[in-house]
Amino acid sequence: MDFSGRLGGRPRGRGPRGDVDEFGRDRRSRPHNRKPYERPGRGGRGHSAGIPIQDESRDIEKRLSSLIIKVGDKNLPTMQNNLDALSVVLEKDYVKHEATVMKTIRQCILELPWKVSVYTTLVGLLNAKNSETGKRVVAMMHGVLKKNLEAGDWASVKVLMRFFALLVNTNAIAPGTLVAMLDAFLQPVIEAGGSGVVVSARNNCFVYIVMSTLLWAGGALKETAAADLERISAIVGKYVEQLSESSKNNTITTVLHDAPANGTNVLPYLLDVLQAMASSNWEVSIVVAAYEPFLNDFSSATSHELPLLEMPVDLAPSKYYTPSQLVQLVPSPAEQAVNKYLLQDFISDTVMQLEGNRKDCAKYLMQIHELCNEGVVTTITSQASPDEADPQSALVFEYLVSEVLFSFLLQLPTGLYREMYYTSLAIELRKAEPQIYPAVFSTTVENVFERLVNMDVECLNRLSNWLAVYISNFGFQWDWDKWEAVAEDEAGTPKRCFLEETLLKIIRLSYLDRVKQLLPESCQTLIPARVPTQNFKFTVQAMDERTRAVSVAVGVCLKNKGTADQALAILDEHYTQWTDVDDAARRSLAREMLVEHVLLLGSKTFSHMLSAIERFLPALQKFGDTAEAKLQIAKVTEDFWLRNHQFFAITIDKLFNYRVIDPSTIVELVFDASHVGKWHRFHYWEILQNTVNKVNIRIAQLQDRLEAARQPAAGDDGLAGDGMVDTEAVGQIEASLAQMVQEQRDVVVLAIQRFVQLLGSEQGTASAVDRAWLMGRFKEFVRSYRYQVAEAATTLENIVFTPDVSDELRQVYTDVRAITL
Amino acid sequence: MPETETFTIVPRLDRPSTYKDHQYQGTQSQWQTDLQKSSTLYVGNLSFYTTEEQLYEIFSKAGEVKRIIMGLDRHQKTPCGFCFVEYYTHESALECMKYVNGTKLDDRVIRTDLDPGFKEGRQFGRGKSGGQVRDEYRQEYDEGRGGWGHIRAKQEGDASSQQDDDMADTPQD
Repeated sequence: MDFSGRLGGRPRGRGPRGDVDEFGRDRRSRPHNRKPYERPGRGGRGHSAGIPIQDESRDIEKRLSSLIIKVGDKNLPTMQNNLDALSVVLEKDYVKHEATVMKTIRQCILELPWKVSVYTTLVGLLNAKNSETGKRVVAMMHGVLKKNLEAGDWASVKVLMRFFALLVNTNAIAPGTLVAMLDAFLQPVIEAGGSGVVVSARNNCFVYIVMSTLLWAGGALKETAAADLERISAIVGKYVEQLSESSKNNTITTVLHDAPANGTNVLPYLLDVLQAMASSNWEVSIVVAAYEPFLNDFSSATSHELPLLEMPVDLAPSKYYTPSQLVQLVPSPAEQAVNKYLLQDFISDTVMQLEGNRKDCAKYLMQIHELCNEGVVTTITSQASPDEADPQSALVFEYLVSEVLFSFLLQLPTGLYREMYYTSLAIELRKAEPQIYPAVFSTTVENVFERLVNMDVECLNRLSNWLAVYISNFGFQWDWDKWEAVAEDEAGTPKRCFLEETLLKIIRLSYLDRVKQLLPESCQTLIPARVPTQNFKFTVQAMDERTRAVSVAVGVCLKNKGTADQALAILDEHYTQWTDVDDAARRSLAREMLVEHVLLLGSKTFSHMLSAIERFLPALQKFGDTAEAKLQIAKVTEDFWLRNHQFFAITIDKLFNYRVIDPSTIVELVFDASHVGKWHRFHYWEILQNTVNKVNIRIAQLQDRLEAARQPAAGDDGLAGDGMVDTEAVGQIEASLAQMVQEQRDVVVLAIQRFVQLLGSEQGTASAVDRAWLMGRFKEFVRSYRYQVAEAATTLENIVFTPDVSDELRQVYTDVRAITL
Repeated sequence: MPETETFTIVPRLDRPSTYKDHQYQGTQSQWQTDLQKSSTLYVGNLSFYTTEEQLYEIFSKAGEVKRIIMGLDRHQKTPCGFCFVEYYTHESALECMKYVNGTKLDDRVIRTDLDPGFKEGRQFGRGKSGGQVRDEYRQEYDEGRGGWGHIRAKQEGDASSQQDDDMADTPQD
């Protein structure tokens, strides 16, 4: 790899270009570039010199904002002075620009979570200089916390609690106030009237927040509230112990089954970190303790009382954060475990808080290490050659970022954001550091690839999706040679399957010939030899005389823009002459003939397909009059698009949209006996998920419509109406909603039933590998739709998970139920 | 919504840009209101060779796609480098703005913008030659979009036929 560009130019990873001069020196440290507030000594002296009074108030506000945002970006000796000077400026201008200062501080705390120490110090200084200002800022932040609690924005809650934890160091709040906040989170955790703890999904979330806060609160509480610190530590310790006991054999959310059991749930891991910190006197050494130089100023500051926090009462279970592990994908020194956790916690928070802008997120992610204390973490960017950064002997920042990114991608039971977020974030990181991240990501992916056999099937699928889009963004460059041995593996083995499916995805994003050119000769067997076209059944060679006659007649009719009725008439006319076959068989033949021809008519593009289906909808619906008939239509579709999974999936989806087939048809199709031995293929599960998701979308839409219909009618001008609710419309929507909810439940139950039947019988799978895939997909399904599973619990227990079902299968169900309780 | 609610240091990517359909009939504020509930995106800078199927593949990464309407050359009825993607929900359109806008498809950076919704007729290019206006005036050669821009292509064509004439004038041995 060529690193020459990096050696000559500006040092990378040191923030935006504007901060360094043409020689790579830090601009801020050069006198003529100093900002007024950076002048040595305390003072607003710089104020009049730097900011002319006649400046527009808006310009001042802009500048104030930017000063707040940039202060303490780097761990430089000037930080103390900068903070002090900024607090003087803010204190002075606070009344005039209160709104700007407030909202900027608020957003800095929320959006730049790794700078928490800087902003608590700034708020502390404002408070020390003017307790009225301090009071307002602290009250505002408390309000923000309350709002985020109500909304169930746990990432923000966690970041805000860390802010309050550090705020204790500045005396702006008393240790007891923080303790009361933590207790509010723990109150639902402690058994009513007892001393035990209650393990639940909601309480996992609360305990996780408390533990994450303790990481930063320990230092402040150990002196002044040691008893409380001990008490809270004991409660969370007890909770984790009980949780570990109750989830001892629960592997339903395990990403990599070769990892130490402790790694599955983040809470036990976090407890280890907390205990390690407690034993080292709660020392946080990764970042600068910005408040330390000001301890004298803070000693006389006013502490503010805060109203008690209340936990949300009516949040849906799905709204609580499920603490999940950081998967270990890159080796790191064991003695650095605490620092690694704290740093990755910052990285995770940043990934979550800046999700709205992946480009800026990538930019800021690369700045986090700049605030670290010396020696804590190294960067590849700072090395003369990338090989000098050895993740085994020191924490390497870029690898920490990569590990967090992939942990998010592989998060179970469900990811926090769409998979595409992590793909596009990785793309931005690589665009920003084109010499560094390609190697970092490929090392990480290769590490996971070596462990694929132990990886959860859903995660394997996600990684494949990630890789396909990632590669397609960089000219499809990837070191395929490294994996060429896999082409010799047996079909269906995890590595081979991963590779084949990834390549199929890449073909979908580009085209076959392109991918062919990219692959080394040794890997050519992994991709289809021919362009994935349709597989029309009625080609001339393979037909008897009378079949050809029908096919030709129907083909001509469709080509000449015949109508559905005309096509039906032709079919009728021909097949009535087939007196040697019975009625049902004739109907089945006619059905197949029509569907094949409609699909052929629409085989050019999705648009063509859509208009072909629309045109012959009456005929298709007429033919799909029974469950068996619907299944036949679906199977003909599969056969027609045998070589093109994407067309197969989309066509099935459209047929469902037009109600030619039902969700239950699709479930039966996916679990068809002809698929035994092929459970490793990805597209069946893509189709199954699309179907359930589509049903869920319809339910959400009907719920919205119902809500709208229940509002009193407004007039056309949107102002005055008759104030009446159209009860008839409401009734209709309610009826459709009830039907859809029933359908949703039916489809979930039916799919689980089929999984259990296949996994429970000899004939359901073709081999151990085949069974492992199906088992993985079973876990994926119950995990993805765990809330629907919970709603259908009684039915499932009565008709599916009966005592004669094997323990192994029932365990999956019990495990999934356990994570939603 | 009060300004304090929406202020962020890092600008969100799922906010409307300066994009506007020049033939939109309503007012600016109506345009904004339309975008606030829109589940449709205008997608630009596509290669003429990019297929509907490729678009489906990448755009379904942000949510379930309801339909894709390919932008066509008004005269030739062939793809001319843009399309409309309609999702089932507004949220999917926003996620697309956040995660898909600015990534590459067919080696080209795709650009997406929230759009009030497709109306019949909007699928056709509005340039003089039938394609998009931008391809009339484009000065750079772009293989994925039919080579030179139309005006430039004409100049190039004139130049080369001039050259051919010159060659013809050259006495042959």
